[in-house]
Amino acid sequence: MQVEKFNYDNKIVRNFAIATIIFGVVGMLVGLLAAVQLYHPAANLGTQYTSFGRIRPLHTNAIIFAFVGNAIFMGVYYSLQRLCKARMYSDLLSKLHFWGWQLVILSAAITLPLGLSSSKEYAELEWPIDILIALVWVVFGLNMIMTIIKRREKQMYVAIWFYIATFVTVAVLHIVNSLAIPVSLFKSYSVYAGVQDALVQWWYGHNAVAFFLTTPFLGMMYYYLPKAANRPVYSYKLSILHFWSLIFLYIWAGPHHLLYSSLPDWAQSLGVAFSIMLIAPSWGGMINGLLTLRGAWDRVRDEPILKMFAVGVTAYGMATFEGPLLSLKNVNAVAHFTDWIVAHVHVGALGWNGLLTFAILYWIIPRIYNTTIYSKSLMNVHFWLATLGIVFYAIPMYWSGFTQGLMWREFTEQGTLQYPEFLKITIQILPLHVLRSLGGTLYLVGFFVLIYNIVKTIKQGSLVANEPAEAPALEKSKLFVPGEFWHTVLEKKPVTFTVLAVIMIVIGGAVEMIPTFTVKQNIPTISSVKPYSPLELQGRDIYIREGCNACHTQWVRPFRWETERYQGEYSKAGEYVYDHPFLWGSKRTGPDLHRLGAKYPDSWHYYHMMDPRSMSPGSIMPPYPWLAEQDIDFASTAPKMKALRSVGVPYTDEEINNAQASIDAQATSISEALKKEKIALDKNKEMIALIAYMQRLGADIKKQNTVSN
Amino acid sequence: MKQFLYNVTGVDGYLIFSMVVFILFFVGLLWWVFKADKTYINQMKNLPFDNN
Repeated sequence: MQVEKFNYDNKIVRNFAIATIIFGVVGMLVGLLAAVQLYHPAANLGTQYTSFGRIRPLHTNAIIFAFVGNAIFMGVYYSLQRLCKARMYSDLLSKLHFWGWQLVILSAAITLPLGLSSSKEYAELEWPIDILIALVWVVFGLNMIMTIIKRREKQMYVAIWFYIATFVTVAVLHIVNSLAIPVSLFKSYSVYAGVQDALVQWWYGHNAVAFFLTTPFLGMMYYYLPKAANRPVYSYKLSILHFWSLIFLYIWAGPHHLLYSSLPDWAQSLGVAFSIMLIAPSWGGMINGLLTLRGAWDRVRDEPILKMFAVGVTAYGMATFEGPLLSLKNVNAVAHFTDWIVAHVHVGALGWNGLLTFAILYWIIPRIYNTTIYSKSLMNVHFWLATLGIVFYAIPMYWSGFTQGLMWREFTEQGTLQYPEFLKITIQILPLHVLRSLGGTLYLVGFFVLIYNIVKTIKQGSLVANEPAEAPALEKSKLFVPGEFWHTVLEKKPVTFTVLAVIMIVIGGAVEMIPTFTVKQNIPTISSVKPYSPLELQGRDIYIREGCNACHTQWVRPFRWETERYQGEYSKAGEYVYDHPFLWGSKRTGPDLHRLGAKYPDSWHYYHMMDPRSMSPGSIMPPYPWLAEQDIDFASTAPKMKALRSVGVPYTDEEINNAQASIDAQATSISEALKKEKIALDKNKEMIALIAYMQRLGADIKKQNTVSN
Repeated sequence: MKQFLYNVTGVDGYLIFSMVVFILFFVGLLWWVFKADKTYINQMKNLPFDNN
């Protein structure tokens, strides 16, 4: 058999490793800033570009797509070449992938602080960047699939299956969730409205966790953990079952983010059922990872990389046990919208993604620089700082979450709310937020220790940009042996394998979405609900720009403690039919706003936006003084209404042509109302539009009740 | 699962079809996993250790 000589491309691995480190620092620093803002409002720094509503998506995007994203590509490019015994298919595609992805990150870093956001969580980037992401993702996928096709190894190892599932599923999720109708270069509206938009978004959001934060890391676990432990994976059979059941079950679980919402009950129940089932494959994977270390626990004591794997995989096990638990409706009723969810997410991000990324960095860098790690004791220091950081982060957040969840629902014996003032509960948990930021700081300090150690390691070695290797060519004629089992055959057919993986993931999403989109009875309409007026529409876009939905929900759940607190009916599906995008939010740092309309006079909103603490002493909301200075972008009104009309909002030609007159009339009445309270505010200012929108919230339902009474 | 889907109309066909497809797939998978050849499994397990 002819032995072929070739080189592994280590340079691309090195580039992704450096990007991982740089964006790790950026993402964590921004996270720390956001954490401090939540108890020290001055940390909003007094500019619109650094207020919490814009910083929070910057943090989540930087961690998910920049830090974790680059880490995935680093891990995949190193292991894929070795598992396929082939260099990456095309150096040009590798380079395009690397620089394209960094361009996406740069665009995000510029546009998110500018408030250019679609408001959809983890999919905030506007449409031109979405297109760029899709293109770069295709480059990655093409490079990967072609490398697999050109491989010199007969079978595809389990890690590669996870990489393929990651590629195809993220592509499908990203495209379906990002479908939007553009208004201008940096403004678009989701093609879906209300409940349907919420379903698509959380189908995406949940599976972004599954297929960006989980499957690629499981693939990497199956490669790097055995390599670091120097022993094969505990059970290869278990890994096969793990893979197929995980990718099949995950895709159904999205609606567990929408429990007690106006999403049809059957869809909520499906989400719960599949979330519970998910424990099986998730724990199968965790057990497979941990048992790979069986008989090697003595080495775990001395080898910090194995310690990081052990704690990282355990964190995965904890988070994937907690996830199904949080999907139970009775647990969810307490936990949803609270800091409990923040704790849950960070056990996954800091524990699973973070520690695995660190372990892989420590494993790869000395190898591609042909040296050994600079200091093992510094690795140990990092391990302990990171582990303690996770503990000090998670415990205060759990405590805070339980406190919020229980205080929100507490009634007195007389049947009134024990804590009717939302702010009182927020102030109660602030010390826990201070502790959380200390936990985050510990974790970040640990990361700086990694940087020092890695820089020193790089300095003492030299990059083996092209690592020589040799392997016999793969003889296509001998690839398939008659009588082989079908999965063995499948492992040699990357394209068929990919198609099958797509079918697996598409069906779950389709079963949930098609009925919600096509069966009218799933979204009952309410006749008194009308489209937003042009001024309210502009106000709603300011609400989106400022990221108000990062802290405020628009989703009153059907509990007495919620209808009591928010003084109105629970939220109905029919109320959201003109909401492109939906703005339900997922976290209540501040109170729900769905019944806010007509609750306070316009002047209250003015003072509250200028200085929240003047109306609500002790509030942690940042001030928004620029809204009283900036003019509404009137030129955008007609294009916005036309774009919305094309996705089903029934604006008439007359309404669009008379938009400016309508704005003038409504703005004048708000401006006059303010004048009576001795507030001089020009009617062209953004604040007027935002007040108009906030006074509209829930007004349609109240109107209906007045009529029927 | 079926009781959750009773109150959705007009989708029975493809729900049942998808259920059957997946049951067949998983039964096939289990069957294959339990019957799989030991040398093959060992060879797959050790794939990351081959040469590098």
